[in-house]
Amino acid sequence: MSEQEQQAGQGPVARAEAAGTSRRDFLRKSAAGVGAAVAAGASASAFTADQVNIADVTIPSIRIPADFTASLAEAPKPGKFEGSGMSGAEVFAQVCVKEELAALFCCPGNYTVINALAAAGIPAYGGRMEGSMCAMADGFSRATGEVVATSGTEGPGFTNMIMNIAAANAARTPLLVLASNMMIAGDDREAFIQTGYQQPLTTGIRKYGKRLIDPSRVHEYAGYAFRELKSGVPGPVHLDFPAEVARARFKSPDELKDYYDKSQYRSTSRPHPGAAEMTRVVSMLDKAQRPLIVAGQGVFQRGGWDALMKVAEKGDIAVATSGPTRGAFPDDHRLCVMAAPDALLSADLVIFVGQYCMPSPGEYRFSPDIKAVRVHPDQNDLGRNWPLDLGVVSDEALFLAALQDAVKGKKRGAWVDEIAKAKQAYQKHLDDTYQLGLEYSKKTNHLHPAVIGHETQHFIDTGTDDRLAVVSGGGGWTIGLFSGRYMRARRPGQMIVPAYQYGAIGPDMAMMMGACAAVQRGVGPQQGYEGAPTICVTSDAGVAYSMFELDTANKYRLPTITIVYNNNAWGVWTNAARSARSLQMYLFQENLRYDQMAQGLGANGEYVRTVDEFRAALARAWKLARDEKVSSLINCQALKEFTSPRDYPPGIALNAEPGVGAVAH
Amino acid sequence: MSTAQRVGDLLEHYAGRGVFRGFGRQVQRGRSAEFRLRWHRDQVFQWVWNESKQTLRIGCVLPAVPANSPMYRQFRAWLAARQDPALPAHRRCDRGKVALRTYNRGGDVALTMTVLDGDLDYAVNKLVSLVNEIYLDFLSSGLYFDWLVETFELDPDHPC
Repeated sequence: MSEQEQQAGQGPVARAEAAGTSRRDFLRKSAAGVGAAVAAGASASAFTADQVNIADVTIPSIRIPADFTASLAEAPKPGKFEGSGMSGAEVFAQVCVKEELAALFCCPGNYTVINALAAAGIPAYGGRMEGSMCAMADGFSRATGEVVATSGTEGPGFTNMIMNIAAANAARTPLLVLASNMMIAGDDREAFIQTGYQQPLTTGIRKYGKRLIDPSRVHEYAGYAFRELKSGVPGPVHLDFPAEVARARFKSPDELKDYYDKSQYRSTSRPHPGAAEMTRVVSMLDKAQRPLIVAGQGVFQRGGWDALMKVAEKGDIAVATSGPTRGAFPDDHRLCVMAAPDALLSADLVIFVGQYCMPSPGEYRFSPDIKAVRVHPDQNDLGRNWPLDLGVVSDEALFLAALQDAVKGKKRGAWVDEIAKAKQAYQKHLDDTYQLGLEYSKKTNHLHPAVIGHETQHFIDTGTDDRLAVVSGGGGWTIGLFSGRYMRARRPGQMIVPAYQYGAIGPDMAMMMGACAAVQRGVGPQQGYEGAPTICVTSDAGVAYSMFELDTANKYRLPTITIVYNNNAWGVWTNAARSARSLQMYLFQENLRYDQMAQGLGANGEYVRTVDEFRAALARAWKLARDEKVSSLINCQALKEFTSPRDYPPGIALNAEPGVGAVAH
Repeated sequence: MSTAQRVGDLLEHYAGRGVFRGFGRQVQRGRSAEFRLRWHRDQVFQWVWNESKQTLRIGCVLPAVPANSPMYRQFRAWLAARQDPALPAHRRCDRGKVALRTYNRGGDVALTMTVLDGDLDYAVNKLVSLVNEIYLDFLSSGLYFDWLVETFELDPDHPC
């Protein structure tokens, strides 16, 4: 559709309506056309033909290669000691299988290891950029809590992953970072290319790291890695494999040191809360009039959501969730204060459970008089940042299970009423902002971020088969702050927060693709939602980092919908508003066509500037994703000035923490 | 115990709980006592207790707010709303116990709480809560985002 047509309101829907075709019929036929083309082997970019004729030059359509499809269908072929023996990489892969490593996301490189993992039967995904594939792995884990691996080649691939390893570290993601590191024999010689020492580069952004040196210890260090990944507070583990280790061959287990079963190299024992501490917690809860539990990532990763619900309902205890995964407590529950920021200031007791990334007083919207209890699996983190009235060393799920039994049933009617009023007040604020956004959108013929956020959640609630099935998330500065307020999580793992704590702009699109892979396979809390598309709301700044993975999503038939808030600038452009010579550094070309780029990568591209166009594009994208497993990118043209409170009040604002839209802690 | 001692002890209690990042008792003059608190936005707030007037005064609770600005008008309205009887008691500044006044001197917004019934503990606790809410609630509106950036030279990557 031409820009002139858009401006004149003569988009495809308008043209169809003018021709007497109903909007519904138009959408149905449009999507069916796409589906037919995809089913026939063409990609979404060439919706009606196997070939495209441009300026009398016929070029073949984008398609998934037959070799790719055949390779995916191959049965696993794990290594074995018999015959030519197992390579070090195969020994490592064997441990990964036994430890039920959920997936590998990588780019080629570290060939011996990634080939061994794929051959052993680990679900493996190959993509376009190591950084994005690392983010995909992180997204998969954020949506499931599972251990996931990522890999890149020696130097450039590995260093490309750094930003997203750091993001995973901030989120406490159990991410296994694998990378090859040439040959030990080549150390210090700059032999050929890509020589580099990896371990110093991940210092500070990992839980554990090791360069493997002794081939006979490959099984031992595989155990070391999974012990770290599956014990205590999770975090990235970085192993690099010199060729001497990955390619070493073993014909018998006795050639390997510490060739133990996982039941011997790690324990599943978890700390229980002490009886005296539980008595104090119960007493503090009993005295509190307005108690609140902040359920952090530990509650999600330890699967403590059922006990959390029972504790909350038994004692009329308010709940907020925090961390990179949302939904461990449903946003629409009467006791949830995620969308009730005013109630947060009334709480008189907070119990942090599994809050791995601790705020300091003043960073959470709490009263200075609030009493604080913190439950954490490691003693050495209790008291960090937030002074405590009581620290409890315990596994999160075990604590909640114990509290479920111990807490006294209590009705706190006044507190429940206050929460309800705070929710109503916040909802009114959101609705008012949305109405303003609608006015601004109509006036400017550009989409306001509040409209995008509201309409996206409205579509999930009313335009999809099952609102619980859709996993959403996103990032960006302006749109991240706006959409975070409108998007809701109603079941564990229904939302992920890509920007959580590290604040990286860009990995969100890839993270949502990783989450999508988890949904398609029904891993962990995504079980039962197989086939559902995922929705990512991101920015024009962010999309540049991950967009090429639309190729990966389409290749693996991961049905993703990416909504791009295109305001022609880095969202933080206002920081240069008073520095005339600096502003140019914050600006992009205007009206870039990310939708056309998406089409070039085999996805469906949509360009919208009005709310009606956006709704129609969402419906088309949804149908394509659900029925044909084709990804879409919706380019929402906006104005950077929407963030200005002077031009378009109320402008931009940070979101209350904890709460919907929180990203810091 | 003198009232100045009591005010100091109450404030020090908050410092001991990590609410303030720093706290100091300054020289006491007559029936006045001065306290300095390092708190929101890493600012040092100067609190003065005047026993004769029964007032707690913060010389600058918000900087760089012109007296004729919409922001100052909105601040005064927000402050009045903190005394609304419709608010629950734990969130309200009870008009029967304390009186609130604000002044603007060259853009520095001062806040004074007068203790009406001698309940010093109530007044100190309420004023601490009130300042906390100014920074966590009043300033959370997008209308003041630019003001925050300009006044505190905020880095958007570290806005808190």
